[in-house]
Amino acid sequence: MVSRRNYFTIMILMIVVFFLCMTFNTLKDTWNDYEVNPYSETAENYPSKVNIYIPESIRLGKAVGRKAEVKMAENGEVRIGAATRRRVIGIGDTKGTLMQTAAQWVTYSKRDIGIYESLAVYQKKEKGGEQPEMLLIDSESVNWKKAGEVTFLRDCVDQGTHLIFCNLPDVSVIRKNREVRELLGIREVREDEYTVDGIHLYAGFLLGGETYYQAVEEEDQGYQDMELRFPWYQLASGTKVYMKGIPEDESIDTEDHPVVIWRKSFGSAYVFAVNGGYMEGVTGLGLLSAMSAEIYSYEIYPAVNAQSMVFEGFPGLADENRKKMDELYSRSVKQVFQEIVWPYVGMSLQDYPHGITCMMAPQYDYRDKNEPSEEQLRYYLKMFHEQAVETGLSAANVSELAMSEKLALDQAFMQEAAGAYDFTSFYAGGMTEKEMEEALRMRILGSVMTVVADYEEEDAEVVKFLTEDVTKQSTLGEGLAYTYKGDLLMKSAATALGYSNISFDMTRVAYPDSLEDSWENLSRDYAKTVDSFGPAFDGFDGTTATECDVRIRRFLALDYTDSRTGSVIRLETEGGSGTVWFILRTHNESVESVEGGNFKKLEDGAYLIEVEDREAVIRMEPADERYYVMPPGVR
Amino acid sequence: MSMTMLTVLQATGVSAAYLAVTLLLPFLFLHKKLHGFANVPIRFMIYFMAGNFYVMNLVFLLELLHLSFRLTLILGTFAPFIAEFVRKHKGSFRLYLERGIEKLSLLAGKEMGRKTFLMKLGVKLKKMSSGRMGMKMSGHWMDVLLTGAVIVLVLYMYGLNTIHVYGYCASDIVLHNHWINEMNSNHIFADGVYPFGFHCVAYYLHAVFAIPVYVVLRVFCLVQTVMIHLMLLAFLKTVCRARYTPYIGTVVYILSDVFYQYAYYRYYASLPQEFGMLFILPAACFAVAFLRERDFTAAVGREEKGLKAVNLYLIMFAACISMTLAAHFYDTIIAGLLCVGIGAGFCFRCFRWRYLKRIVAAGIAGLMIAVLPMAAAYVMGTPLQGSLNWGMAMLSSGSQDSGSTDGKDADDGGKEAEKADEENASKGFLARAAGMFTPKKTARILERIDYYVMNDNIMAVKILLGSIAVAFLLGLLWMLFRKAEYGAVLISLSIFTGLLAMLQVSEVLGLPQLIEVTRYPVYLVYGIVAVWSLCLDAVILSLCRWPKAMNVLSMAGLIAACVVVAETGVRSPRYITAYETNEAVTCLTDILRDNRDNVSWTICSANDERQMIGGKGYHYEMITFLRKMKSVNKDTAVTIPTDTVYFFIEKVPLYYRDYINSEIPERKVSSAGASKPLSDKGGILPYIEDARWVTMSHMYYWAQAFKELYPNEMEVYMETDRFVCYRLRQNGYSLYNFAIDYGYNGND
Repeated sequence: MVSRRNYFTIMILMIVVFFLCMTFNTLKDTWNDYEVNPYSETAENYPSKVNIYIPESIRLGKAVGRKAEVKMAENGEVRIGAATRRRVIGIGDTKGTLMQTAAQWVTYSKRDIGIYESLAVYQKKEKGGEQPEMLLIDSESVNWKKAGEVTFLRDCVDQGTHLIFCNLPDVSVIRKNREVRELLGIREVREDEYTVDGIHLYAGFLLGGETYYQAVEEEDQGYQDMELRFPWYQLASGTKVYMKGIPEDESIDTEDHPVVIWRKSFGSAYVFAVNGGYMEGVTGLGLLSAMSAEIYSYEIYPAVNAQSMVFEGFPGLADENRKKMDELYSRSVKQVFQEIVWPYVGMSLQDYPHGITCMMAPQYDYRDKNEPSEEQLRYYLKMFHEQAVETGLSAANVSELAMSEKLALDQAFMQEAAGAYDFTSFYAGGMTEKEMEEALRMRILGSVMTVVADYEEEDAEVVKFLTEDVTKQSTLGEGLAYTYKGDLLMKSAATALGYSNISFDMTRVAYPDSLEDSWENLSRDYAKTVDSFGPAFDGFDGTTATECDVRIRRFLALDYTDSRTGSVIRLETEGGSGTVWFILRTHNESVESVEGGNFKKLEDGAYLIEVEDREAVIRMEPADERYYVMPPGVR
Repeated sequence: MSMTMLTVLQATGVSAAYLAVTLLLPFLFLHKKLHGFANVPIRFMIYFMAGNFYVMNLVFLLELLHLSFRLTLILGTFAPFIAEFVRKHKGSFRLYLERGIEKLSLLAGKEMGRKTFLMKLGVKLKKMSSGRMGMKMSGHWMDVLLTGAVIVLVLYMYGLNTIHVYGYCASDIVLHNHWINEMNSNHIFADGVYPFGFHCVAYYLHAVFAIPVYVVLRVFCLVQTVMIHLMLLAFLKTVCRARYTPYIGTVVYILSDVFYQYAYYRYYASLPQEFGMLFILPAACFAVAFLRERDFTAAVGREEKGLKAVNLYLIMFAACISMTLAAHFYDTIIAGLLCVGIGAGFCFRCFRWRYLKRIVAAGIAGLMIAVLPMAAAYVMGTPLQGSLNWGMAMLSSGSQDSGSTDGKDADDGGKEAEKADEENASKGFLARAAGMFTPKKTARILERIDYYVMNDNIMAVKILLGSIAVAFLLGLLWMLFRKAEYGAVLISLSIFTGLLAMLQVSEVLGLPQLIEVTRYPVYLVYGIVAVWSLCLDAVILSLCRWPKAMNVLSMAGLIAACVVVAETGVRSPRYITAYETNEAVTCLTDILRDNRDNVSWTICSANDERQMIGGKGYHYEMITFLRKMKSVNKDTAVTIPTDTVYFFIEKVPLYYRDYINSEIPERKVSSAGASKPLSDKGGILPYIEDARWVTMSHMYYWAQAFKELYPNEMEVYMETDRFVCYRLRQNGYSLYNFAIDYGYNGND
């Protein structure tokens, strides 16, 4: 028997609980300003194309030498000036992928470059000029039969110029020519061609650590797409290896494994050699940055510091492809996304710092009669807003409708459903730049600040200005199709730019070609991608596409100088506004403090430096100090 | 942390561990049985001897059974306590066990807090010890103060070297280190049969207390030296009548600069011979105590709580003799000489059958106990260690051509002695004896003693020899005054030191050389200060027999001795040039700390670190490393298959030359050194004297050349103006080839 007093107390409590729950939900709903894109800030204050850094020689159209300031005595300490790092000479086809990669790396690392078609031309044009920091050589542009060219290269090394062989001459040249072998640090050619089982990337070279690109399990066979056939060289003393092949024959000593990337030291300078086609595109950018870090006692270079994951064609708002969906999931595409895909994605990413951008596809097929749902749009906009996920617009379109028509239909739908919503990012997929520029003229993309596009193999220009005010950022890989090459590419991009952008083509979920495209299978690749890249670069910030755009603008506009006195590195920036980031690579040193900014350890010998002011002072200390020391006076 | 501070902590830890096992545990086990027995110094010696004897033989037993590891050693240590407990509480053992388990379960189940448990334990201990300490000490505060002062003086005199010089202060410690390391795998007598008593104790400290062997060997000398001095003091306390005269000899021994440095240098190192010295005077003490037991002749015997005093003395005498032999043969020889002296001094009692048979039996039993483990190993096929053969050869050659051991002077002396021997061969014994002390020979004897024992002071030599004679005469005098036992001690010590003095100049006298000539001073000085103390004691006793007056006089004597020492020169603490640089030991300590959970590291250095790392990492011989790249061609490969490689290079190479290594090195590595060919000799020879300079010079220039090739990889781990350690971290899958042309490869 409940007394009246108790009855009323219980009633009051229930009302309070009910009221509180309802109030919070109502308030959350009311205050959720989902109809306004929180990323649609005016871009006026951000650098535009006119502000970007262009290497001096490219800007002036001629090679410009910089005055060297190698070492200066200052208060009895040696000061190492960074200006010496800035001039790079490329020897190779000026329009070839290798030299384009070199030019792009030079631009991103704020150096200067001169590219010559051949060594002979370079010798002729820069005779008596300043010694460059390094020579990036396409072996095909060197006349190996001409003894003078090898001797010239050796002279360059003796004078302190580092040589980077972006590829190697034919194995017959190496076999016959002792001087070439000595220059490259090759003791002997063991086999002209040898097929390895996998590739072993050593720690401390590219960011992301040691990696074995070897498919040991049968289910991993699909990931293997590395270059596995190449000449087998044995190295001489004075060399250091960064990447090796893993032979199938386990009886071969690890020291004898075929080498892929290595360096030969001559005391005065290094000669880097790459046995294979790794120096093209983003991989080349990463390798060049890693090699540069190996050359110097410390290396500091600008970084974008952005990690993005782009879900292309997600969410879909129309109830499409019903038959196939019923067959695979017994659900509509809306339910599949809402009840299967999103919970999985949300859970898997909560431990990793990646920023998420969902490139919405109001419809995949514009010819059917399934219209997008306004209610569904509002649901996702609210949820994404709450979870700091950016909503962009996707160019996904399975019907062969012209882009302009698709965008017009999207515009009509958006106007109806969420009139105030302005998209700031657009996923262009595999569109050409011309098509992108045309698309950007459409009303619905009027407020777009950045275009996310698929990575074109061998294109090193992963971040750039597409138009005067709109940037282009390339996704570096398809997250639902993990491969070893893609992994190396991601590591390279992280090393060179502190940038990672992975796309997940969710159109495959809505329009699967086969059972392979069921989420059950795709989620395996998705998990592999997330598990591989999630923890690897947790030092970098997660950004959505538009947040990344801001960083790209600052990165492209940035120029800097650095100098070191004792344990203090002084960094001066110009050309950018706001916070910029640098990657600092060290050897046996760690960052003690940063004045004018902050720092974060990425991994051993790699730090992310955040510079808030124009100038930052980085204090270094030994990476590990001796715990027991001899007291003064004891001998 | 400062390395000096670490050494202080290590020395404290090792001392505490050693004393806990050799003093505290025997005290806890025996103090009730020995309550009121004899005097404090005797009991102190009994505890200490029992502790050492037990530990030594426990390790011998377990090692020979191949059962030696931490758990068995700990169980073995507490076995007597467990046995005693079981014996005592046979009936109620189960009850005690249940109570104990109950308490533990209360503690484990958190029904009783740790604080409560500790508090209860504290209260119990307080009850057990309440007031006893104060009561016991009340009459001895001056002794406590003076003993404390002696300890402080010893610590000051030898401890400064220990805490400032981190390396081994004797060249053969590395070898002992190796033998002790081998004991870790129950491989005793690794290099052949050798007295392993010292090694057993060092190994015990290492195994039970987890102290690295190299740390034990670096700092053990300090507690060992303190105990050697305390044994001297305790011995004098048992034989002197005046209260403070024992301190006179001890203080003079510590402070006086009258003796040559050779008498002290070995105390700076943890060496078996000095460890064995701990047991010489106690052996004498127990022998004297036994011979003093007059009642025994009447076959009555005093009984102390079930233990017959005479039996206890004989047991302890046997144990001491056993330990001298277990530690070092030289100590047994010296103990033998001391026994000869005691036999002569106590001839009126010693040659009575009742005494003689027992003491001889005890001596033989002691020798047998020590020989047994060695004999067992020998029978099982372990050969004799090389130095034993050397010792035997020394003895036999010494007896044949005595005194050819000391360079030109000795040769001259030897020849003259031989000539004199030949001349005297036809004469009778007395005539020959007289011939041994011709003025010329006497002068030479004085000169030899001065050379080896005294600090360029002939007068001091005369005083030394004179004091031996005075002690003898005083002994005779007291025998005449019917203080036969007291007089016998004086005569015993005078004969002992007299024999030592004669052996010191055996080359002049044509006597057999029992031990290496430079080792006599260590024992002679140790004995002579005891003689001086006894002489003063005898004088004071002859002046006055009233105890209080004797105390005053002896205190006055102590003060006077201090004044005389101050006037004649106070010895200052010395610093030995160790066989490893301080930097190398500091580096090694850091490396061991840095690689606590990692074994993939190698030190490439001259010989010594090989044993010091004690299997925690790997070692690569510097000379092997350099020899491998004598001629470099494209196929030359020198790799070291560990993740990290450390290179120890002395920029100012040690001499590693003389026995004491007293010279301070000054010659730096140079291109001149690197231009010389590497030594092609084996063993340690490439690391001594000039060869070391050449080896280090080569290594230095190799490191410079390698650093030029790998500036970012070859990092400086530690550098001073005398030493540099490089660290190179490499990928185990792609090792660096260290074979490079460093400009001096093919100099030979």
